[in-house]
Amino acid sequence: MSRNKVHAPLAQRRKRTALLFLLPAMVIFAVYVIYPILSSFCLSFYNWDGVTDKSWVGFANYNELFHNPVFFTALKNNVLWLVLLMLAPPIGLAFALYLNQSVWGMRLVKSLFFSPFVLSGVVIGLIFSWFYDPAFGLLKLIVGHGIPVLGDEHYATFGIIFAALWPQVPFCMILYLTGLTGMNPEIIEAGRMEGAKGWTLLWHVVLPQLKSATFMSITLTVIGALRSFDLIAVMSGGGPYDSSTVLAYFMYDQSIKYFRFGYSAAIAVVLFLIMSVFITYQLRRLLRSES
Amino acid sequence: MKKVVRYSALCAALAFSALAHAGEITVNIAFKGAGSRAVWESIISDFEKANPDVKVKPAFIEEETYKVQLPAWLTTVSPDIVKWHEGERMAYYAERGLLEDISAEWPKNGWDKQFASLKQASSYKGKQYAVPTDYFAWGMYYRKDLFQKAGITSEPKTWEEFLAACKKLKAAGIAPIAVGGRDSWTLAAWFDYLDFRINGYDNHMKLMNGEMAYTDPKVKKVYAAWKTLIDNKYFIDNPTSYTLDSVQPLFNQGQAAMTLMGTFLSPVIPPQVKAQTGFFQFPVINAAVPVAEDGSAECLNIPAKAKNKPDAKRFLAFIGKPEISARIASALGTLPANNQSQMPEDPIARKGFQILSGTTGGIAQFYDRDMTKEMADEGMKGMQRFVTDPSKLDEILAQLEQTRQRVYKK
Amino acid sequence: MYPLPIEKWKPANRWFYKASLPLALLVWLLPLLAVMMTSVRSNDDLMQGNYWGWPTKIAAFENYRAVLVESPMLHYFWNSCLITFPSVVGAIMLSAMAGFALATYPFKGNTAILATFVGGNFVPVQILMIPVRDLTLRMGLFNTVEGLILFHVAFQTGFCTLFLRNFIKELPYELVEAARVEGATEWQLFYKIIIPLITPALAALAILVFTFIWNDYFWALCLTQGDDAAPLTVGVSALKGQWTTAWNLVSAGSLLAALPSVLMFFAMQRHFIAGLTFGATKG
Repeated sequence: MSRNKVHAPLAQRRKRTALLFLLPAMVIFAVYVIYPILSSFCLSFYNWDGVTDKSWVGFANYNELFHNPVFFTALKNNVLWLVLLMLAPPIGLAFALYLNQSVWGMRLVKSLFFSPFVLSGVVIGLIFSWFYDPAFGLLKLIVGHGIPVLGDEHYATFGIIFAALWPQVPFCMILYLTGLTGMNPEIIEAGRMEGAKGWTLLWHVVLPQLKSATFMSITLTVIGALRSFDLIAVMSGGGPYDSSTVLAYFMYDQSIKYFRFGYSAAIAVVLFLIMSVFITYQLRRLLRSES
Repeated sequence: MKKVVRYSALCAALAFSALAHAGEITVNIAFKGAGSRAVWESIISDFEKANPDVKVKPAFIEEETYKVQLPAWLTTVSPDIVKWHEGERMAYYAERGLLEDISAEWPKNGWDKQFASLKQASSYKGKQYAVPTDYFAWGMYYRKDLFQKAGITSEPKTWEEFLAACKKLKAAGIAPIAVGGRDSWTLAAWFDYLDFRINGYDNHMKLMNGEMAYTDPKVKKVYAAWKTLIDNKYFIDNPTSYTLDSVQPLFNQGQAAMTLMGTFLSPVIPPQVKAQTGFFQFPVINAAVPVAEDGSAECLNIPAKAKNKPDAKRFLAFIGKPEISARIASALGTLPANNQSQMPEDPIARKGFQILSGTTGGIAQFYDRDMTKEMADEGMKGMQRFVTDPSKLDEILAQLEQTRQRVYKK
Repeated sequence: MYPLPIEKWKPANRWFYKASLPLALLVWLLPLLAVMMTSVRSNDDLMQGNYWGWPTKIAAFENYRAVLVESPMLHYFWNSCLITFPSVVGAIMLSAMAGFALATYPFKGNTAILATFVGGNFVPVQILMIPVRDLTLRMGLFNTVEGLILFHVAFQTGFCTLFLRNFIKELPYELVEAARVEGATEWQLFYKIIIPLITPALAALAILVFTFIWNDYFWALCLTQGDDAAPLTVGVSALKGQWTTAWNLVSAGSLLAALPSVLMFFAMQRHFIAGLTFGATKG
């Protein structure tokens, strides 16, 4: 976006206006998000059970965390979640391409495809638990013998991520559908004229135009992966024996079940630091694409 | 809409204003399902009828949510009555000075006698902090028809008879024991009972109190007995894949013959299955060890920060009555805490009552109610690992021992 | 248009496509159908492990009655409305203003503020739990609808600001300059020029945020107790049974709880799709 240079007093005035526009959002955001984050940072250096007084312990919480094997299991699972849930954007794109036609009743079809997204995690978790049930599950009927997906430390996380894809895919699908609708038809036609077909057309002509949809899908999928909380709680409770836990769940466990608020704040801080790598990367990409 | 928002804000403000009206008590009740909510609602309205000068403001909170929120209530804005668990769970808060000492109420209301067997569990350092409402017994549910089919003629009383029964069931193509190990506490019941029967109550409580090492040979003996059952495949396949909910179809369909569970399960067994269901006491392993049992009790407490303690005590006095205890128990499928109450009709509940009242070796609360929560959870995760791969036992116990030293050092 | 509209396809392919649609829908919605079936199953069926077969007895009336009449579901529903609508309006309003400021005014610290909003948005919510609880308690808003609204507004503002800032940034800047030349104040510029232009985006965002807040369970759990201010999600989880879970009731309750979001999406689909289409104008 090009801008003319504005005179200084005008610039001053606009700056003030900008501030006024920003103020309400900034205030409420500072109170409810920024302050709590900082406060958690501080808390992570204390030992606190929420009942008795806090006591300063320095880096003891972090020290314990880095010596706890559960932390590394959780970390590994977090990575698995991030990587595997990334299947949602491409699958969502495939769905969007499939559904981007004007056939009678398409509006209803699209809505129905979208509906898993609005179901509560608790019910999704339940249905997939039944799907995996080694004695009575649909999976057993399909493959012929029971597979203890949720009872086995090697499969549990994969089983839950598979369930998590079900609501995440339609979300990405919708984003891509909107991208497809808003695409410039002339460019596609021009591509077709030049003989681009199939994959080439999709890869070189269509996808570049869907860049912002892709950005949104990936961003929201990452957020989804990090908030992968309900499903784990319902489907495995982090088990068997912590094998399917993730940092967010591990942290919740420590604070809610054992009232180790300082320790859980330390977990949160680590999770936040990991996230900030991603945040920085995304932001830089966003800003670079604009300049 | 604005009006409603304002109105509800006003209500909330009133509820939380530091000065509650005299003659009003707030009661927080944990509930699961419409049935348990309904019985508390009717009891509260009866209390208000009997005490017209006191207004009760109940808040019903779903059980899981309740557990999460309780510490916050006790430390900040307390209701006048909370519902909680007896034993270590209660002692945790009593120790931190968050519960009101109601020792004086016990002799006054005749509770010393009526709740004699639960007095210990209601006490912390010799003082009483709770009034028990109801409790449940544990035992082995079994399918009479399957026992018959396998040629088992009587309920196993000893470990040998039990193992023989398992063998016969296995030979008849029936999984002897169902367990929903994804809910790890269902495994803990097995540990509790094997430990009661092998090492006895006192040793069990030592372990619960963090005074015994997990690497102690006594603990290993419990797991060795457990391992025999696993090695002979007497448990269902993939036990850690099932929850308490999802394992029941196996029992109901006759694919598994026994399950170790509390009397609370009885009301939900489908009628046609129930006709074929029996309930027996966990068999004796070492005849020299006095028989101990799990008998988990629920209770009501007054938070130390409650605003209207006199009326809260009146409420407790009302709840402590034999007929109220009986009403709670029959609605929840549990046993009335008051020993003057009429016993419930349910045959399994009655059997459970007999088991507990004949117990000479001591009554524990339950694995995860007798220990600090963190140690209990680690222990139960260890059990999940153990049933998945019993060969890892030494490694698991060594790790638990490390955890014990950390948890009990604090 | 991409992919090629089916009118231009070979008839056989066109037929094949149309036939595949219901099939794909069936497979895709199998889990949802299972939820529906569960909601009309009797407890006995579930106890027998009949999760996927045809119910032996249709207990639709009993189950939905239990949910709607025997539990205070309508009260929870009302609470959900009281929480969700003001939160959506509040979050969108605040973030439209903030997004406008960040997109139109180049000033020092612009990027830093944007980064803060984005960063806050990626925070694992659990990190906020303890401080937000304390804060709400201290403000006397614990267990009130307002306490939840304030938090939701604040938390959703991060995401919405990023979204709307990007959207406004895509608008041709000439519009802004033209309006200024005609003497519009900055405020007029905002609500007379920008707001009408981003209405579709606001609608789309509203639906999205609506779903987020409507389905929130975690914060309802942290910031309420009892029935006073508890929303539908809390109500649904309260439908579980005493010891074993009444999954048929939970399913019925969840379907009812999801209904508003599905209906809203269906009704507003056109706006939703149009509204999310940013990046389109920048060909």
